[in-house]
Amino acid sequence: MNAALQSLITRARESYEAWLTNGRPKVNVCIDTSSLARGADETLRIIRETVAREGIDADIGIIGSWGFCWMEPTVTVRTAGGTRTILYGNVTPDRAEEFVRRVLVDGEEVPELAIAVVEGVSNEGIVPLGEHPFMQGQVRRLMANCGIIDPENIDHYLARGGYEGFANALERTPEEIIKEVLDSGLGGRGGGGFPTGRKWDFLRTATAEPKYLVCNADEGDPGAWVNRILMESDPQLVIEGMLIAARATGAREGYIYIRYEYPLAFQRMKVAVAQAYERGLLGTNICGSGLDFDLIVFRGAGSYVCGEETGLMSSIDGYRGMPRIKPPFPAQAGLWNKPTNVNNVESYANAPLILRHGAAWWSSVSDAKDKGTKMFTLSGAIKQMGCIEIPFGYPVRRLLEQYGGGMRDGSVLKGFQPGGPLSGILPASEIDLPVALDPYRERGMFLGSGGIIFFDQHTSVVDLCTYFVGFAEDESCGRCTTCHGGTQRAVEILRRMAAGGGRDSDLDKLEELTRTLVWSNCLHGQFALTTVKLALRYFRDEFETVIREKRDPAGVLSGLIRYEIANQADPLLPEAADICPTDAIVETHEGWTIVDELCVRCGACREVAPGAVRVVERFAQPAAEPTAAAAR
Amino acid sequence: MAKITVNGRVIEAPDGAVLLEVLKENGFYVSSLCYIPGLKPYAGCRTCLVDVEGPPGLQLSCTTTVQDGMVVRTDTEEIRAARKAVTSIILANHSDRCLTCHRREHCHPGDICLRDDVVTHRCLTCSKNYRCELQATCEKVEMAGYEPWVGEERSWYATAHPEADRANPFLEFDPQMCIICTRCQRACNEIRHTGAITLSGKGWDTRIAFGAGGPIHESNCDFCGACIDVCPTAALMEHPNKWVAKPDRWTTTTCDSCAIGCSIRLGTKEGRGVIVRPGVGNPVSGNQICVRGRFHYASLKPRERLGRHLVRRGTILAPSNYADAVAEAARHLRQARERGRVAVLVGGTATNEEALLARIVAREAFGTEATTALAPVLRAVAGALEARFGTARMAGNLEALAKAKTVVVVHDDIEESHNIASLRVKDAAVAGARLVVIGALRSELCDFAAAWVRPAPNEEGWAAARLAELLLGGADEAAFADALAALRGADPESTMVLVAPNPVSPGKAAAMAAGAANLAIALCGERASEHLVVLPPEANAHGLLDLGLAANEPDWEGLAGLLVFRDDPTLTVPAAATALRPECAVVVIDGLLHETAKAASVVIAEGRAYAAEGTYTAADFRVQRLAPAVRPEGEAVRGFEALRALAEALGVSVPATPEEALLQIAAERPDYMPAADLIVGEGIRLDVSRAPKAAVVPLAEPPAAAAGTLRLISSRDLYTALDAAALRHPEAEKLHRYDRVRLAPADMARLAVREGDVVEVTDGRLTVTAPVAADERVPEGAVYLSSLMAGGIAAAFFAASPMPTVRIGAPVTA
Ligand SMILES: Cc1cc2nc3c(=O)[nH]c(=O)nc-3n(C[C@H](O)[C@H](O)[C@H](O)COP(=O)(O)O)c2cc1C
Ligand code: SF4
Ligand code: SF4
Ligand code: SF4
Ligand code: SF4
Ligand code: FES
Repeated sequence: MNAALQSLITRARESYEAWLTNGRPKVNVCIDTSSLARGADETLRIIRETVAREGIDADIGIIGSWGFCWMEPTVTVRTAGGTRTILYGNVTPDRAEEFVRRVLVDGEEVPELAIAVVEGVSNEGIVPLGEHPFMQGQVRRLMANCGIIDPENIDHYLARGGYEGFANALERTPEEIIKEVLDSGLGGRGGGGFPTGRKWDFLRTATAEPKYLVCNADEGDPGAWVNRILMESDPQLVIEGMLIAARATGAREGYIYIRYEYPLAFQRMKVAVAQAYERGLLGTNICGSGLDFDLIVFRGAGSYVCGEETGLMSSIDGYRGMPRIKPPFPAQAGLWNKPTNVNNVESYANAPLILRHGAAWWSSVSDAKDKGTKMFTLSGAIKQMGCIEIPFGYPVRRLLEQYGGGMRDGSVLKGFQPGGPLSGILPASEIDLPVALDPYRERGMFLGSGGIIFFDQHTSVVDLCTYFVGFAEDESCGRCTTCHGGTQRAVEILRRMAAGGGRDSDLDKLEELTRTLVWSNCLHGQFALTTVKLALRYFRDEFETVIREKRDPAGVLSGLIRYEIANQADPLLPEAADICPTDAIVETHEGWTIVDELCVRCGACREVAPGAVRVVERFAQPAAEPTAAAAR
Repeated sequence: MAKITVNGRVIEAPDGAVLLEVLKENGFYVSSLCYIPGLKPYAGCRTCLVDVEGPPGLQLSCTTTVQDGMVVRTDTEEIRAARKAVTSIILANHSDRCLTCHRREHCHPGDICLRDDVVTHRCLTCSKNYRCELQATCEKVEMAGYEPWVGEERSWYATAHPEADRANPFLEFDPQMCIICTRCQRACNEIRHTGAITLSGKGWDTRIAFGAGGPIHESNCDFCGACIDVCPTAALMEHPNKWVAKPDRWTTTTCDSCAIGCSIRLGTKEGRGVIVRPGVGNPVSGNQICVRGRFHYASLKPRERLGRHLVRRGTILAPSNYADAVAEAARHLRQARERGRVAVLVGGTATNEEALLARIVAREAFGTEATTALAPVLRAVAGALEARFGTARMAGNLEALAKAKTVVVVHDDIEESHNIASLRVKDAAVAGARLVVIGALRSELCDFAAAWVRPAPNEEGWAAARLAELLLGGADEAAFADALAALRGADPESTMVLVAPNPVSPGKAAAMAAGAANLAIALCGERASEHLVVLPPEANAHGLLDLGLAANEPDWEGLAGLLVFRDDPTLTVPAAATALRPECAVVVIDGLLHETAKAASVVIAEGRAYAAEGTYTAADFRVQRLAPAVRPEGEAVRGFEALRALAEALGVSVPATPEEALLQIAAERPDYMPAADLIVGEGIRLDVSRAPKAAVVPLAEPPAAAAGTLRLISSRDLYTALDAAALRHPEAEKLHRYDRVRLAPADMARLAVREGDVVEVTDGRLTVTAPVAADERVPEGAVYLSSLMAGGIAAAFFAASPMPTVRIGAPVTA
């Protein structure tokens, strides 16, 4: 191994070992965007203060995410002797002080908050991590360090096998590295699945200089946060991946383009890059190998199409983030019109694994056609919003039932959407489709970059389409008539339908629009109506009901429903009246009534007083419409 | 050459050419609402769909390039349907009632729309009706009857639109008509390098914005109108003619507002100018013009021009018929000749043919040489050039400018004085040329320059000469470090030196020409004259030079008679006032009743340059044709005709037509021969031979300036209209930027004057009173007055002192 790298690793191992064996208990709080949203910084502060106040001798540190996002803040507690580590969840600020007293002062465990035993034998009903239903069947390779290491400490990464892949890469020729990546079968994780090795080879064989690498961390799909988990939990993995790509392609400069709404990931990557520079892992003559590579962390422009690779490059180039016209492709003319390779965070992150363990090991994780493991984030009307890493091929049902914990109480699966707003929706009947690229392609959509959203019977398909097409409209860069104007037309029709103005010709118009939008420049416009296309295929009857009967089977389309008083005697009515944001619930001499013109259908009253109000169809037959007086 | 098959027909086209352009050139209709010929495709409108055999689906013809063997269809049912579907999306956000209507031809603007009685906005009531590209496109792709979005909420008719910007005199922007094709933005950025227009927002909020989104005149827009030319709708229109520009005739002629000689197409209605668009075929201007070229025709209202001949009856000038006026003019001049000397003064916008006639009349009838108000400056420049080259005619070609690799500009600010030359310099710089700018004003060109040498005000010429010295001597000097770095090792073959001698100060002009000449010699040696272009003041200065009118200057003192052709010497010749005594018989042939005309015995009304037929000799000795575009007002005649009639009345025989005049010029100067069969618009470069020598001659020391005061800088500004300035018209500069005393902000603070304060500027003898405006271009310690401001007073300051300095008094109350 490269001597400089070897000594870096040795020193890092020594310090990591010393830290692990310093005889102090360790409490590590997960600090990532999900945990911060639930007060993890407070939890950490309280733990630190308590420890200081009580004079407890313990190491308090931070870790990244374990993927148990629905149970944040998560905390690991490792005993002084290092024989036992337990992962806790829901350590919210209000529980933090008692929690830390119990685990550090009283030396107890807290079974009611415990998720699993990470190290040591299980007892008292706390399962070993591997046996936790959320972890069973997961293969954590990319996420091997997630939750375990301090993401702001490069030594932790180096000590746990980090940069060994890069060390191997330094001993190979660019051609050999690319062959290894090609042999692995790694396909791009940004949604397209294009073989990463081929892309690298395009850049390697490009003749113009300089060449650039770009890491696409713009992750804009609602419901996808796999890239964020990696960057916030193990940022060095991404850097190592890019270094390997640099070695393979001859690029000397790279950019990590991070979504504007990811300030923490941005900060973590900056810290990680600074540490890598400090250790001589970035910059000129890296580890004395003669390799030069500079890496710049770039904050995104806050627009979805900046995630499209050419839009991203325009944005870095200092222009409006508009997707460009292809050809030329990035490998011919990318950043500053020089050859450029763009890969997703997760694509780069796989490279260290392939180079460290070999293509054969990497691809042998399953015999699915798509190789390697893939991270997914699950959300929607499910019990557990989390992040998992699995081999391809599991049925979506398993993702829902095992990892997602099933639908929320009272919810029945209506359908799901893999792949973000440009992909389509599938009905519950397709729940046994495997996670793999082909089945979705065959259906005219894509598996996407890792987000899967499950929706229930309370979701209106018209509403979903309005949301996703509306998103596409808002995020259109404005170049193509078809895209910015076409999405506008579709939203218009959908909104009108939802307000009870549906016309018989609407479905034909929507279909014509789905045909017209394919003449857009980039995938954003071309796929902006995929949701509509698939919804028309799988949920056509729902559209027809909305149009012809002016009735919403999901009971949510604000234009098709009405709230009314169900029980004049309900004692919670005044409270419901209070919570109504528009004061639509009023008491008259005839009793309580809801003024329809004021009601915005927010549903707040129903939550406060479930028995007092009910939703009725707005356009239902008058006979079925109970008046306030009749109800009394 | 590649062979491709289009709709079954085989055509030839260059390999790699843009398919859309090839199809159009060969007569195949393809809708294209965002493409601009020559620029990179934007591919936004998505209407230029065609079917190329091979790849699945339809292709955009603007992003497809020709390849041998390509098989293309432009007329399949799929294409028609797709085009309509795409166009219908554009129409959803446009005033579309007429566009989708079968009976549009039957409607008149006053009619109520029969389809929809609430609709007021439609093509029939639009300023661009019948000359609109979107409208024509809808016709071609057969949108009549195709309207899928009726009654939608966010359709055009149901949406509140932002206000139109009508706050400036040149350009109107009505965003509600915009289809976001971004042609304007790209024209402004890629063709003009100005970047005043941006595409802002995204999704539903995508908008065209000027500058930071405020009014146009607060952006850095130069009002050249390149955006108007490319706008496919009524969103961007000229302000003066937005509603009236329905010309019955288009004439290609030459701009009269500077010596670049851009071609313009002047649209006229019943003989009066109503619109100008860039002309075609001019290798220097291409399809660009500047604000002066586009709007000079509209600087005065028709009634402000002279439509009647005038003859003095005592103290009043009384209308007269043409024959009487000519006879009277001849009588006055003949009598004056009997009394003493008669001078003939020709303005800088006279054609070569008109100048020839004036010269013949001067010689034959008055035994003198015709001259011009430009003579002092032209002679000073010619003297400087002759000393170094043995000739005053430089062989440099403006066509070479845009492709030059090294460019040096010695100027006050050619962005303002010779705008299209500045544009070509920018073209070169954007393409990678090393640009060195020498000038005290902070020109827009400085932003494109590798080096900007900023001498003390009015010392441009000396700075250029010093730079030449350093280049030749291999020495260094801190102030020139960047310039030397940019120029050392420059390839002489691809080097261009431009000099725009100052229009009001012969001394400064001579120094600028001399310095630039030395610099050209330092850079290009023996062949320097082939790489130097002089941009003289006024459109036909070089024609007047070639005809010998610059050679001499009358003694204004004691003139018995004065014949003035298309000029107001009170504006341009500080000494002229002495000539306008009652004893001097003054005959004016002009289209404006300016100060000189008011003092004249006879005024023969003529139509100025846009009525003229003839030729100009532009800066780089390119002869451009003028075709009579406008009809002279009222009884006025064309200038050539007036001169011919006067000659006849004086008993002098002259060529009867401009063609004959040109042949006579060619007989005298054979290099003008090819101009005789010149096509309008194209221009022909005269065969200027290389100068017989190229020798650096050092300059004398610059004149000293009084210490502790402000130096006066004056040059031709971009916006003041020559015609209106001659009338001292309060709207001669419609933006009111250059009818002001312009000062560096720091000096304003020092002098405790604020924007808009009215101040007196005086050298102790002359005084001008005007409001102050802050100007980042002006260096500290200087005052800028436009050369045409306040009746041309700047020239008088420079006549009084070669390096004038002025004081600024405390603000006076209005
Ligand atoms: C509208 C749009 C948004 C996109 N957003 C992302 C994104 O956020 N992250 C990403 O990796 N790829 C995104 N892509 C895909 C990228 O264009 C590109 O294919 C990808 O970064 C390539 O990386 P890979 O080969 O590693 O998958 C987007 C594409 C489109 C059309
Ligand atoms: S399809 Fe949409 S996002 Fe893509 S270039 Fe066109 S307008 Fe922009
Ligand atoms: S801009 Fe053109 S298409 Fe639009 S209303 Fe005016 S004439 Fe009609
Ligand atoms: S103003 Fe005219 S040229 Fe500019 S984008 Fe709008 S329609 Fe196009
Ligand atoms: S650059 Fe000169 S010739 Fe050309 S349009 Fe402007 S003023 Fe006229
Ligand atoms: S001309 Fe091709 S897309 Fe507009």
